[in-house]
Order: sequence, then structure tokens, then C-alpha cells
Amino acid sequence: MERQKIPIILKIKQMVIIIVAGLIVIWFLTPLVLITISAFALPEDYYQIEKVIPTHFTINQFKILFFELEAWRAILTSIKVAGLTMLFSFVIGLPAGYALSRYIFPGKNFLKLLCLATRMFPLMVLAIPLLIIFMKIGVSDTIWGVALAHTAMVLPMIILISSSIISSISVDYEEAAMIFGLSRIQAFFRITLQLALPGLAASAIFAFIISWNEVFVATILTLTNRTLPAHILKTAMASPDYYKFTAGFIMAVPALVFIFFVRKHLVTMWGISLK
Amino acid sequence: MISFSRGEKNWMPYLLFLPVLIYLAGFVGYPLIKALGIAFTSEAGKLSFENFITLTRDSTFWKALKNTLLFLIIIVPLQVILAFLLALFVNSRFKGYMTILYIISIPLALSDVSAALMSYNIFTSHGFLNKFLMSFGIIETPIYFFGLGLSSRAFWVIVLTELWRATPLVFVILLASLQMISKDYFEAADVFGFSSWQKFFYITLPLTMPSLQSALLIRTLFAFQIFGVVWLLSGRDIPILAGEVYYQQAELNNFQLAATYGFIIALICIIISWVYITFLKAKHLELKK
Amino acid sequence: MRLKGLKKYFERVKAVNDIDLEIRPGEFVVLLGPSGCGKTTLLRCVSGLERVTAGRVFFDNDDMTYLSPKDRNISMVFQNYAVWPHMTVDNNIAFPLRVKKYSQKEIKKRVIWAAKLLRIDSLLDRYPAQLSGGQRQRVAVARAIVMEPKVLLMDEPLSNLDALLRVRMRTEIKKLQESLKVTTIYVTHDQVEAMTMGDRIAVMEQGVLQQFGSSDEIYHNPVNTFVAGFIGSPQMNFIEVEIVSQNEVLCLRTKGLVIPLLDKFKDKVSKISDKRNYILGIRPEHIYVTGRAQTDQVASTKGKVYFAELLRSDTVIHLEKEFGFLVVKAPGDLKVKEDKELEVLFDLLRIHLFDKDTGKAIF
Repeated sequence: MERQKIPIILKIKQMVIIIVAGLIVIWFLTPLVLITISAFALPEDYYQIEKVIPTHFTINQFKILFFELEAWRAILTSIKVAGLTMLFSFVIGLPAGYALSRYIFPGKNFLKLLCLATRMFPLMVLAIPLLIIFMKIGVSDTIWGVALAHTAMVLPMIILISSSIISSISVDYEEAAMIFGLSRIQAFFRITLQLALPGLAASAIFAFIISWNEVFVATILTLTNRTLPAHILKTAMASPDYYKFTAGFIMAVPALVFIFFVRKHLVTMWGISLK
Repeated sequence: MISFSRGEKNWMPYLLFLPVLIYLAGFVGYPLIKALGIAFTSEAGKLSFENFITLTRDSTFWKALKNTLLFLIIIVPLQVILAFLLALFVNSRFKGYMTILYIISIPLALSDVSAALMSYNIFTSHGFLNKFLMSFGIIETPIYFFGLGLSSRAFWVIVLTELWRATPLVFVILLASLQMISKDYFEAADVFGFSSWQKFFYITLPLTMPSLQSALLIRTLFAFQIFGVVWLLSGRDIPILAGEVYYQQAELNNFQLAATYGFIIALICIIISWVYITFLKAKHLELKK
Repeated sequence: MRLKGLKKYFERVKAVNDIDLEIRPGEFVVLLGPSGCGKTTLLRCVSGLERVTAGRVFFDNDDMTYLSPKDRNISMVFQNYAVWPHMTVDNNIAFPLRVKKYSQKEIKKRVIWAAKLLRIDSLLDRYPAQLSGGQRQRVAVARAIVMEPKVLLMDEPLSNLDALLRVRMRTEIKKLQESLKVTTIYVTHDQVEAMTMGDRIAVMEQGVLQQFGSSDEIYHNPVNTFVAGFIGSPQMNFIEVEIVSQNEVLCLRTKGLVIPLLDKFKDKVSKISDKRNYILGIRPEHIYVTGRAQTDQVASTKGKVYFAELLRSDTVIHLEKEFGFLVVKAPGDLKVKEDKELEVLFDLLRIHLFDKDTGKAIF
């Protein structure tokens, strides 16, 4: 009797797993699928109440959104800002990450705490004063301003993540390189950096995406030079529905593509950065 | 750890950290002080609580506070529970769990703007939900979720959207901590004859507690800053604290009030963090005794 | 090579506390000691990976103390090999040469020479992940010898290998060093490795050099109880005794044991006034079972066999005595029964006497 019981229980377990997994997939993927459909749907089809799923598709609204509504400029701005953010945060943050990982020094814990605190702090409170400061320096409403603000957001995370990645690469490799003829800095660049590259690249892309998605600070700091999310916030809601969906789709796609490439590092990175 | 801890290389780590410190001082520290300054400066330019008084007299402020809190109280616990269940499910490592993991992680890459638009796509009058219901004859005319006077309906759409968008954030943290629980504990429990429930209550739950608490804290702090989803789906019909910061600055050009709103958000966050830390630390000390 | 007054402190921990050593060219010196004794720290100071707190390091009268590792013309084999995972074996071995900008031809020649010497020439195109632990270790050694350094440093290179491989590699490394004639400092906690490989052994404990000498000196003339107890397996027997005069013969005495002192030791002892606090040391292999004595200068004592370890190659007998246990190493073919009385003989020429308070050896 025992022997007959076990396969049945297993089968039920399997079915439950499949059902739950299926529900999860539906829950998470449906909105994405739907907006993709809507982004490409012909407006007439959209406005026909009876048609649940549009049958005609077009890339027309993409064209219009891009060119007539100047979305391409916003996209470009977003790319520039995100790129700058990535650059700044790494140039400033990577050395600090190395210091945290490889050295023991007084004040180390304080600095770590500082990074964590900055991460948890509502940086939107900085948006207003930053605007004033930027206006004084003359970088308000420029990509530089937004990038600088975004870097402040992303910096602590980059420091902690790169510190963790570098720690995972044994010091022995650097020391061996130092014995065999390299200086410390050379050993870092030729050995550690090469080994850390996949993880660091993933976190760089991560920084890019955070900047790409950021809407609050970007909206406040820009007037004419808007990033895509800021642009959408200010214009899309006033335009017809189908443009909204196209815009939403455009925002989502690059991020999704990037994430697909770094998916292996996802859990580790978010886990670390949010601890 | 290389420790050139004596001699000339003593200053190296500090040098490496210097850019960070300068940057943070300039772009976080200084603006922070400035924000404080603006919030406490009256129109006339003198130090005063004038802005705060104006704020408390404005009914919108109280509405914004109420709404933000409401969102928080409803969304955050739901998220944490949902995320925990998802994490437990994925952690059981069934066949194909990696794929499910990636799918759950997708919203991590999306901004609240995208999420809001996706919700709009579904719930708007010509959206998929209405079309779907009408094609099955369940309703005759479309149900309106957005628009003036429909803020209670929009509220729930926002809750749903946030649930969809932000649960993966908590999920990832919890999964990471679940994965760190050594299998040995469970194997020992099996040897001692623990049931699944017992294993959960005596091993899983206690060991994930710290992670749960920090996830709760983080989500709470972020929930106070809710902006994009609400603004896109309901404009100012549902005022929220962050939205008011934006409104005051962008539309009314009132830097003082905007900064004051921002300050209040920051203050609340600091207080909450403080309470959490003190609460947690106290517990830890008790455990150590 | 000379180390003078070397000190390395980490905050309050004195990892290396005033060490002086002189090492001859081409010598194979072993730094031996338990975990935490400072031997690895000392090695790292010599290599330059660790900054000394005080003292000096000289290679052939050149002061190396503040030079960075790359300028010292040294090589090192790490405990975990530190073979770079993103490079092939070939590139790993060639690395030191490439950095020093040797010509392509020269590099190729040397790499093949080193690889052949370590018998890994067939693995040159592989990546470390594809190799076994033993193979990776040989890559590390090949890399270390390829540019013929002035000093070769080894930090417990065999500790991560399995027992059989370890024995084999011991011989290989020693033979390698003999043919290359490179000055070598070898760190280990394994006294067997030290005794078999080292020309001279520096025994360390808590940052202090206990004794520096050949294996012969260390085994036969340990300067204190630590060295005496660290070298030799099973460990030397330590028995608390007093010096008494019995029938006009100076003896070492404790409950259940009286050992007469031979003439040659009498002078060393006669100057001592306090006759109470001493420790008698004798190695298990120098206590014989009746009939198997190797000398006739013996003193006998009896005890009950508490436990006998029948290794077959030897028999280690734990004898119960009034003062504690006596460990005796006897031939493997001996038939011993537990709980039976056994008479054993102390080799009077091989006894050691230590001061109880300082641990220092008197003889």
C-alpha cells in the first residue's frame, strides 16, 4: 500500500508546483505581454471596444513618438545621463570598493555604515536644494546635473557591490603578481580587475538601469533636457492612449534586454545592495 | 587582506575613499544642509517655522500624509508576505526554478513609470480588462478606474501595481537569506523527526527573521517616497507626500514648501530607521545575554 | 641572507618578535612551528608583502627591508598555489619572465625547461580549473623557479595535498632545490617535512625563535621543552623530578622512578642549589623493553600496560606509573598484553633535563 501511495503524492506535489509556477508566470508576464501588444496596435483597433486583442499592428506610433513628439531626444538624453552615471559612479566608487575589500583600517566600519545610510536615505529630499545649487553653477537642466544627482544615488551601492566582488577574488592572486614583478596597482589592473570583470560589468549595467528608470529627481531637475521618464511624466499623460503604451514599451525594453544579459548576477547584486 | 598597516602605505585606503567622501559631502551633505535651511526659512528670508505652519494648515498636506501612510500600511505587509511565500516556493528548488526566478525578477528592471503605464493599459476604459469583461458579456459599459471622483478605485489599481512592481525587490532579499541557511540544519531536523511545519517555525522562520526585518524596513522607507505610479495614474487626485514636493516646485515654483515637504519625508524616514535600529539592537543584546 | 632584529607587530599582537637569522647561500631552511607562531608572517616580511615594524632584511649585504616584493628578485609558492585562473598554465609560468621583458625565445625556452622539470610539459595549454590540486601545485612551483630567483620562498606548499602525494612531493621539491642550488625558506607546521627536507630548521613559537640548527642538533640537543616536545613522534616524555643524593650517587627521583645520573652529566648538575624543580625528558624510542636494549647503561622501572597501540611497524605502549603515563616505543613484533606488568629500561645516555620554570635545557 505504501508503494502505491508515494507516486500519487508525488504527482499531486508536481501538479501543485506546476500550477503555482504557472500562476506566477501569468501574474508577472501578462502586463508585459499586454503592453507590448498595445504598443504596436493600430489605434482604430484599440478604440474598437469589441476587439479584445487587436488584429492589426503598426509601428506608426513609434515613428510619431520618436520624431514628432521628440521622444528620440529624450531617449538620447536618458542614455547620456545613464552612461555618465555609470562612468562617474565607477570612477569614484571602485577605488573605495577596493579599499573596503582589501584593507583593514580605523574608520572602516563607519564608512560602510555611511554607505548603507546614504542608500536608505530618501534622496528625493535632495532634489530641491540640488536644483538651486545647479542653477547657481549653471548645470541645471543639463545632462550633467541629472547625472551628478543620479551618481549620488548609485554610488553607495556600487561601492558595496564592488567591495563584495573584489573580496570574492582571493588576495593571493594579487600577491603572487606582486611577487613576480608587478606593483600593487598593476597587479590590480592586470589580475584582479580581469577576474572581477563579469561581476563589475553586471553592476555597471545595474547602475545604468537605475539611472534610466529614475523619474523623480530627473523630472525636477530638467525642463527642456528631459530624460525619458521625465518626458513621459510631463507629456504622455496628455496624449492619446496609444502613445502612452508605446512610450511605456520603449521604457521597458532596454531595461529588460540588459537584465536578461546579467540575470545570473541579479540575485547577488540586489541582495547585497539592499541588505 | 593585505595589510600595509604600518609605514608609508597607511594612508592608501583613505586616499582611495577620498573622492567618495568629497562627492558625498558636496552632493549629499551640502544639499541636505541647504534643504534644512530652505525649509526653515520664511518668505522674508528669516529663520522660522513659517513653512511648517503653512503646511499644517493646508488640508492637502494632511491628505497627502494620510494617503502615503495608507499605501504603506496596505502595500508593505502584503508585499512582504507575498515575497516570502514566493521565496519559499522558489527555494524548494523544483525543476526549472531558475526560469521562474528570472521571471519574478523582471520587474526589478522596470521603472514605476513603465509599471504605471502597464496598469493603465489594463484598467483604462479601452483597456484589456474592460474589453475582456465586455466581450464575455459580464458588463455592458466599461468600468472606469481613473478620473475625477474615482480616486478610491484608482487607489486599488495603484496598490495592485505597486504590489506587482515592488514585491520582487523584497523577494530577492528574502531568497538570498533563505539560500544561506545551511542544509545541515534541515537534515538534522529530519533525523530528529521534525514535521514540515516544525521545520518552518523552528528553523526557517527564526533564521530569516533578520532578513525579514531589514526587508520590511527598506520597503517601508521606500514606500514613503512613492511617486511615479500615483502621479501617472491619478495625478493630484490622490495627493502623496512626494507628489506634493514635485507639485510645489514644478507647478507652483514654491521652493520653500517643496523643501519643507521633502524635509518631512526625510524626517519620517530617519525616525523610522532609528526606531527599527534601536528595536533590533535591543533584541540582539537580549539574545546575547 | 640575514635577518636582523626583525619585528612585526599587528596592533598589540607581536607576531614576529625580534628574530635574528643567518642563512647560507643555497641552503634549505625550514621555519617550523605550530599555527600562529609567526612563521608565515616572517616569510611574508622576507618577501616584502608585509611591512616590518622594526629590524632589517639583507640579501647578500643589500638592504631589502623597504623594497617592494617585485624589486627583491624572489619567488614564492603560496599555500593555495595562487595560480591565476584566467591564464593557461603556459602563461602562468611565463608571467614572471614577461614582466621582466625577456625575449620571446628565452621565455619559451625557460617555460619548457621549468615545465619539464616539474613534469607538467603536457599540460601547458590547459587552464588551472582543468587541473588537479597536485598539478596546480606543480604549476606554482614551476612558475617560482622559472626565472631563477635569488631566494625561493614556500608557504606550506604541501599542506593541501593528500598524504601520499605529500610524501612524493617532499622528495621532488628537495631534489629540485638541490639541483638548482637556490636559497630556500620553507614554512611548515609538519615536523616530518622539516626534518626530512631542511638543511637547518628554525623552530618558532609565539613570534620568538626557539632554536636554529640542523635536524641532528634539534633532535638530540633541544634547547628547551618546547622544541623537545615539538620534534619527535610520539612526543617526548616529560616527568617532573627532583635531584637527590642516593648512596652517594646523584639521582633524578619522583614517585615510582629513580634515575641515576651518569658522570658526564654530574658537572652540569652539581652547580645547582635548588634540587626540586626539574623536568626529565626522554623520548619513547629511548625507553627499551627488556631484552631489546640498545645499550647497557640503563635504569629499569616497572609499570602496568594501560594501552598498547599495535601499529605493527612499531608498538607504542602507554605504561601506567605513579607519576602518570610513560610512552614507550617498542618493536612491532613485540607481544604486549594490557593490564600486565612490564619492565622497561631508560637509556641513561639519552635523557634530558629541563628547568621546570624556564623550560630551558640543562642537558
